[in-house]
This record gives sequence, structure tokens and C-alpha cells, in this order.
Amino acid sequence: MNIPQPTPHEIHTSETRYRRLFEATQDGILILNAVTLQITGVNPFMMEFLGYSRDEFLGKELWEIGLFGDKGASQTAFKVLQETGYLRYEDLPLETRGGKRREVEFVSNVYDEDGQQVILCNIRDITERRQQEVLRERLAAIVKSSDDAIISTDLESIVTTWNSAAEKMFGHTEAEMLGKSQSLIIPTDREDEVVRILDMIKRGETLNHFETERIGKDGRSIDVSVTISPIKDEDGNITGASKIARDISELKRAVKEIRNLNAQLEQRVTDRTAQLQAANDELESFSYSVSHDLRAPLRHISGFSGALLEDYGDVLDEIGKGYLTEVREATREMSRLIDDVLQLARVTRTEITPEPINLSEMALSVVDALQTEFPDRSVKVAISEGLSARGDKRLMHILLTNLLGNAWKFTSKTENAEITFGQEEVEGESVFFVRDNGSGFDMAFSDKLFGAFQRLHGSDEFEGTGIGLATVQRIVNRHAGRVWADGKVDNGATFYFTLPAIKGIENEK
Amino acid sequence: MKNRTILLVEDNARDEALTLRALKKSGIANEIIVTRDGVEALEYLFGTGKYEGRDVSILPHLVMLDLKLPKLDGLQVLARLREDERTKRLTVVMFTSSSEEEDMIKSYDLGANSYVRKPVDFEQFAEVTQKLGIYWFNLNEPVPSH
Repeated sequence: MNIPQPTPHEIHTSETRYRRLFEATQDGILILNAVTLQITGVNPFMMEFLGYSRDEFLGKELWEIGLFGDKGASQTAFKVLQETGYLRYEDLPLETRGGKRREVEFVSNVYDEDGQQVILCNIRDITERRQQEVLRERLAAIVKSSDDAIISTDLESIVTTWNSAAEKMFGHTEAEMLGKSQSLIIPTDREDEVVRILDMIKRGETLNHFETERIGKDGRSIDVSVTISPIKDEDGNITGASKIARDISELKRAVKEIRNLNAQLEQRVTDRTAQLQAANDELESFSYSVSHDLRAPLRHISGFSGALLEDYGDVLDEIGKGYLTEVREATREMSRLIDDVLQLARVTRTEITPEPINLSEMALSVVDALQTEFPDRSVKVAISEGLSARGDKRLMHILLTNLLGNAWKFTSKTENAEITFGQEEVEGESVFFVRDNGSGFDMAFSDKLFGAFQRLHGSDEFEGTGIGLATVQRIVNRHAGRVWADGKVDNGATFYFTLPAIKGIENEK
Repeated sequence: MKNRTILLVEDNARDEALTLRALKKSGIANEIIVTRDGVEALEYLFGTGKYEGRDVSILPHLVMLDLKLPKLDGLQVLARLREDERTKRLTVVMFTSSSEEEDMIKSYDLGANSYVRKPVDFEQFAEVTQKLGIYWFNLNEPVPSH
């Protein structure tokens, strides 16, 4: 074979070309003596890359500048190189002069140069590439392990990634979905929505936590919250969409459940309120009936027995007349009882309208009325001045009428009867009291005092229906206060009550 | 003073008997017309139905109106009387067992001249009826008739 020899000019041209390549390349190049393994040539990139000068490279062995770690390792490596003529490391750690660690791809070839064995090493910095790879792997791991379905599609809605959460959520595997249209998971009535979203994505907009519905492989509807954002290429062109979908079916179910429970609760409250209202209405009509219908026959009994006594009294003896008197007396009692029961019922159902009340004045008028009703009684009444409270005027009047009336009644057999109405501090609390020096009561029965129809005195001793104090207690309770009593047989009684400021009702009239 | 009748609207015969007795005992010897329910009372006053042809220019001096009545109750009757030009000034006294505040308020709102509770006690009943008669017949100046 006759190979034509290059001309000196051709040699020069070639020399220049390769020299330029050697000087300008962005890979590091080392030339080694294959026998001594000493560096005989280094290009500028390599010097800059590791931070050594040409002089520092030349004459050194590779391991001395940190390649292959130590002499032994580099000798082993080059033995392989000498035998096979080729050595390649995908990634080899290097250290720069400054101590920075770099990853390189290392390729070396042995060739003959004018009868001398020369090793040419090509060193490419892959540090950044490796870092990118690590980052990508990490991101891939995050995507893979996410509980949220992470999907990406191109602008034609063709699936380009499909993580394992997506597999789990929708039932389609990655293999089944890659390259397929995402319409597989879109309900038919939501296709318009997908088109609208895609338009947004094309405009570069992001859709955050959008609640919608998707379909699983088994046809099951899945409530999802999706965040969809555009994917851009290096030049900023939008090439697709990434979608992060969270299954909110459970949440939706829970919300629905809560709503149901709330609705049930509300219904129950409504029902109960209606029942209560019905009971109240019944009580109302019962009270009305008591007020009207029960009085009528009573009036007739009283009326006709009275008429009998008046018109035919002369044909009756004293005993007969006495019987008729008892009949009329009994109707009077019954009438009072009806009045008291009605009042008790009224006290319970009346709406309270709180306003400032001068209790001293009110008590005075009650006592005046008592004195007018019982002109023969002589009672020393002491009412403190300036007693005031916030309360319902009507109810307060009933309260004072009952308490002062009781005191009036139970001092009827007492000489030098005295009644005091005042206010004092009891354990730091301001307390009103009505005190008398009348017949008193046995504290052993104090729990019976405030019960309806409970009486501590025989009716031949003191008249009464046993409803007055029950009414008092209800009035005080309705004003959020407390009432209690203190007494001793034949040694008077004191009734205490508190009237705390009623909260929440501001419409003063 | 040509007409001194009393219209008693009362469904209960016993109440009627006791009222009539009390009125007579207190010397009110006027003619007393009794109607048993609200409809009958209106028929009497407006000369319709059972009282077709009655001279309606003759109105009672006093109407004693019970609240609880069959068919039309006392409040409904009162409302009708006050709506009508002929009876809007008629003296109407509510005479009832009810001590319900609401009944009182409604009666006065509708234009009752007076609200009197029927006392249960015989003596009080007689006294109230008597006072009622004295007041409306002897003291009160009625609306001048044209």
C-alpha cells in the first residue's frame, strides 16, 4: 500500500488545527508517558480546572495531583490501560488544588507516537451534570412517593408523567396512561371544564385548589382538589401542564356527614321547639280555661247558695244557714286558689321586660294597699329608702305583694307587729330582705317553703293557698336571682332574695 | 231617655238567672233582652234573621257582653258593632269571668266602654251588678240621640 506522505505545509496546517483544539477545548487533556506514567502534556482547561500550573503538572505522576487517590491505585489502573489500550471511568472523583471535589468522566487511550507509547487522557467535568441528576432523582423520588397524584400532560392533554399516587387514586397504571389522553379520567360532563383549564394554562395561568370530579378506572367518581400549572421549556414556551390532585372524597363525605348531622340536629331542635310551643299553647289555653270555665260553676254555686240564703233564709234554721255559709266560704277559697294558680302560671310565661325599679316606693304602695284592706291592723313597717333594682315591674310587684303580704299575715297574732324591708351585704353579695316578728317557721321544713301547695300552717291558723312563695321563687329565678328564708317558730321570719343585673336584655322601655 | 232596655249577651242560663236577679234586686226594672250567642246579638241589633223587621232605631241603653260565646265571641261582636255606623257609639260593657290581661287589652282596643269581671262571690257579684246599673243608668250621660 502506497500511502502518500503529507507535505510540510499539510503537516503545519494539521499541527495548527490540533493545537487549537488542544488549547480551546472545554475538556481537560493530559498526555502521559505510558512507561513512566509521568505527565508530559496538559491543556489550559485542565490547568484551570484543577488549579495547577503547567510546571506543576509536568513530570508529575497522576496520583501526585490527586488522580486515582494513591500511587498503588493509579498503577493498577494503568496496568489495565497498558494491557487493553483503553480505560474509561464514568465518574471519577477529583480534588482541585483548592480542595473542591469534582466529578469527572475519564477516558484514556494508549497510542504510539513515533515508537513511543503515549497515554492520552480526556477529562470531562460532569459535576454539574451529576448534581442535576441527583436533583432529578430526588425530585423523581418525591413525585413517586407523594400521596397526591402528580400528572403532567402536553398541550394536547396527552399524559407524559403519571406517578404512583395517580395509579392508586385513579386505578390506571403508569404504563396504561403514558401517551394516552387524560380524558380517561374526566367525566363526560366535565369536558368543557378541561378545555377551559387548558386555555388558562396556555395563557400561562395557574389554577389553585380547584375542586372538581374525576373518574377512576372502575367508574367510581372521585372528588379531587387540583392545582394545575403550566410547564415551560428552557425558552419559556408553555409545553404542557402539571397537575397535582388530592383525593378529597373522604373530606367531602365528612363535610356532607357534618351537614347531615347539623340538619338533623336542627330538625330535632325545631321539632322539640314545636313540641314545647305546643305544650306552652296547651298551658295557655288551660290557663284560659281555668280562668274562665272553672270560675263560672263556682260563681253559680256561690250565687245560688247566696240567693237561697237571701230569698229563703226564713225557712231555714240556723244550722241550715250555717251550711250555706260554709258553701259560700268554700267557693271563696276555691276562687282564691284559682287566682293564685293562674298567677303562678302567668309568672312563668310572661316575657320579662327589665327596667330600673324603685323598690322602696313599690313596697310602700303594697303596704298602703294592705293597710287599706286590713284597716284594723296596726303594724310598724320600716322600709329602707332608695332600694332599687332592675327587673320586670309587674313581676316585682307580685313578688313584693307576696312577701309583704305574708309578713302581714303571719304577724296578725303578734303584738307590736313589725315588718322591715331592707338591703344588706351577705358574703359580699347585695341581698334584699323582708323581715317580720311574726309566727315564724321551723327551719326543719324550710325546704317545703317554696314548693307549690306546700303549707307550714293549718288553714284555720292562717289562710292561704300555698302558692305565694312558689310564685316568689319563680319570679326571682326568672330574674336570675336566689331566694331563701331564715326563721324560728314564734320568732319571726326573714326572706332574702337577690336580683342580679339581668344580662343580654337591653331594650329598656 | 225613651229607651231603657238592656241587652244581655250571655250563653249560660245560670249566669243569666243570677244577673237578672241581681239587676232586679238593685232596682233596675228595665226590659232586659237576652241573646244566647254572638250571632243572635247581632241579629237583634241589626234587625236580621230571627229579629227581622225589628225597629233598629231603638237601640238598647246598655249591652252587657260576655267574652266567651258560641258562634261569634264577644270580641268579634264588639268589633262588628264598632265598625257599623249605627252601633259604633253603643254602650258596651264586657261582663266576663276572664281576668286575662290580653282579653282586657283587646276589649279596650276594640272600643269597649268598660271591662267588668264577674266576681265569683255572691255578695260581690250582686254589688258589682248593682254598681254597674247605677253607673250606666243614673250617672253616665249617654251619647245624644239624633
